[in-house]
Amino acid sequence: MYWPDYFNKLMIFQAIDIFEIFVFSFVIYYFSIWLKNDKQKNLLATFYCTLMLFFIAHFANMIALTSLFIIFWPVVLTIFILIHQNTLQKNFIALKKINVAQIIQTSWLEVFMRSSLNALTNNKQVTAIIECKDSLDNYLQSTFKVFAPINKDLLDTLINSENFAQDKMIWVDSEGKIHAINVNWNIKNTNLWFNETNTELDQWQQDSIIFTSKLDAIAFRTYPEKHTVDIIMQGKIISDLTPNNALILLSQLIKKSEIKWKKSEKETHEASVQINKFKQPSA
Amino acid sequence: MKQVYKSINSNNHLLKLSSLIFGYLFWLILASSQNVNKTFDIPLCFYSLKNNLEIIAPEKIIITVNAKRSDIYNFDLKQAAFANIDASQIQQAGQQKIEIKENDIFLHNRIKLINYYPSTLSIQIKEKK
Repeated sequence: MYWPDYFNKLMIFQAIDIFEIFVFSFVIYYFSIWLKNDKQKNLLATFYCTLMLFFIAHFANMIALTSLFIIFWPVVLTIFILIHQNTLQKNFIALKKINVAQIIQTSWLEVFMRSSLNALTNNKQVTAIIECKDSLDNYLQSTFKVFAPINKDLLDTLINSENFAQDKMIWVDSEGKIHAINVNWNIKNTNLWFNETNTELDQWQQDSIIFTSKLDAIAFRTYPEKHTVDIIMQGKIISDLTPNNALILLSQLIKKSEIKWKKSEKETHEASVQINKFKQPSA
Repeated sequence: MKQVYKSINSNNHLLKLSSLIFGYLFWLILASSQNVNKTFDIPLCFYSLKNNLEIIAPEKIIITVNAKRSDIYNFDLKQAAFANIDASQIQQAGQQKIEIKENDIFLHNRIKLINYYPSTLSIQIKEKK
């Protein structure tokens, strides 16, 4: 059988060797993809650097270092998992809210916008963060929890209360529930996400850009001086919208997020059905 | 499976290439110390042939060896291995059969001979004119 000479130069003497190499490559590739898809903390570079260090140690005959890698490989892996457990858990378990199927009502948005406009007449600005399908529990810190369906009276009471802090956010979800007021982004837990700062933007805009670039949440603020609304989503800012245009855009964004989520849910369901079929023993 | 297929079918060419390189290096580390069988041909030589005779015989024989992958790589077997057959017993011209023995095949001591073909050579002896 013809066997190319360059395979011999690579120490590949049989066809089965090529198969083995492809198996190794596939495992590394699949693991790399898994790490690359991490939205929070990309560990791909760390993984590649570790591999490089191992190969350099081996091929440069650094016996102690190679032994360390080989003997302590399970320990290194355990330490790696322990350090990055939060990140890795989010890859294993998609931190999505599980909801029963229901029609998304966006009329709460009109109620919310109306209350915000009322607040504008009282010279109060309102900042809100709308939680779509990515859970915000880990990313927001609040001192005043509410957990109630949005209605005009409740919103007016909250916004006009002495406890309401204008510079903080109101946390609502896409189903029209108000979770909390006086909410801040939990920057401490996620300070590794982003190091750049843009001094031209307000702090809430900077923070919201960072978080919405990683999550499907939508942030917006109403300005009493200009009677305009700024919307931040997917790491982008849309400034100086009229309240009416803002309302239309917000409705569209929420619906779009819902459609996208349903599509990914369908794909996951189909995949799990396939896996279950595969697992079932043949009769 | 669908996700696996999707990830393979994606356009991460750089990631695929780097995974292939890393996969190869990983395999190399593990495989270089393993024993493997390799089949190849080696030159056939005759010594102590009478001056008035000449031999018409195959130039090569096929051998299968077993050794560490790194040893097979380090010793260029096509250069370092050969079969050397004593032809002093051949007295007259004509068709003859010679049996090749294991001792006739010279290999590095780290390389183990598994098999060789043919084990009996059919050669033609001619007298020199």
